[in-house]
Amino acid sequence: MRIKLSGIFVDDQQKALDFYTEILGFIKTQDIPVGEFRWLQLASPEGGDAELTLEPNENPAAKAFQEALFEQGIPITAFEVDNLESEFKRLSDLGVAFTTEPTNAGSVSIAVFADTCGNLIQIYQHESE
Amino acid sequence: MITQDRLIRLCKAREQLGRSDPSESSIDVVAKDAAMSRFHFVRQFKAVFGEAPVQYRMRARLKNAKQLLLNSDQSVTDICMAVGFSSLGSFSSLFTKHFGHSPSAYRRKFSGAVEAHSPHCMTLLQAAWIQQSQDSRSQ
Repeated sequence: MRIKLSGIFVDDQQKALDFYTEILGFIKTQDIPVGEFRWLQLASPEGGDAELTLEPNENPAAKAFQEALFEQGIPITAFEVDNLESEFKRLSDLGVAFTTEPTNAGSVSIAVFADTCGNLIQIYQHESE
Repeated sequence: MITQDRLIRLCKAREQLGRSDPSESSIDVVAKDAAMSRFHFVRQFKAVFGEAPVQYRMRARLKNAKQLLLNSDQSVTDICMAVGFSSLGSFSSLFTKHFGHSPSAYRRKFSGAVEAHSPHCMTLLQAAWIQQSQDSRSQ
């Protein structure tokens, strides 16, 4: 048994695909039409086995869950980065809105931004020992 | 930086913009309710939600119309008015542009389709695998 797919809900799949590929830099690995929706799967160009799926939040339960977490300032997931400060600067320069600037949180430093699709995403860097 | 307080105000504005209300508030009123100048409100809304408030409202109206098409037997004209459009022509044209089908065609095609009513990862994944399998057989 392996962890291969992790999904997040998004309020618009095309808007999400644009943000996650053009701004964050992920690569689209699957794009299969399913009725009016799509099965969208992304991978990181930096490697790793796990892939991310962008799922429509059309299901009212998904929408309520997503909106509640967002309003409470809770990130839906977290991505690891090598250099938090440079990633924070790169994304800020691209107009990404952060709710938490790079902050030390013990063994990691974290920052949190809005993904423009209804989610907060945390990025983190392990502190060197 | 978006503070937690500002994030909450932006969320409330989004909720306000997403309501199906033909007598909707103007963007100026929504900005005022969010305690921001129109300029800052539009700029921050776009940074957080990826689209301008006017665009968000349009998309929300279309989504509301889609739900009514699937879950009610109201006429297309009634739905058009109920979600806040005043012109059937512009409603049909925007709906078709956004969803790839006219409102009537959308209703015919997707009424009863599970993935249109309550899609979730498993229904989508299953449908995607079936699609992939059909594509590979036809090659």
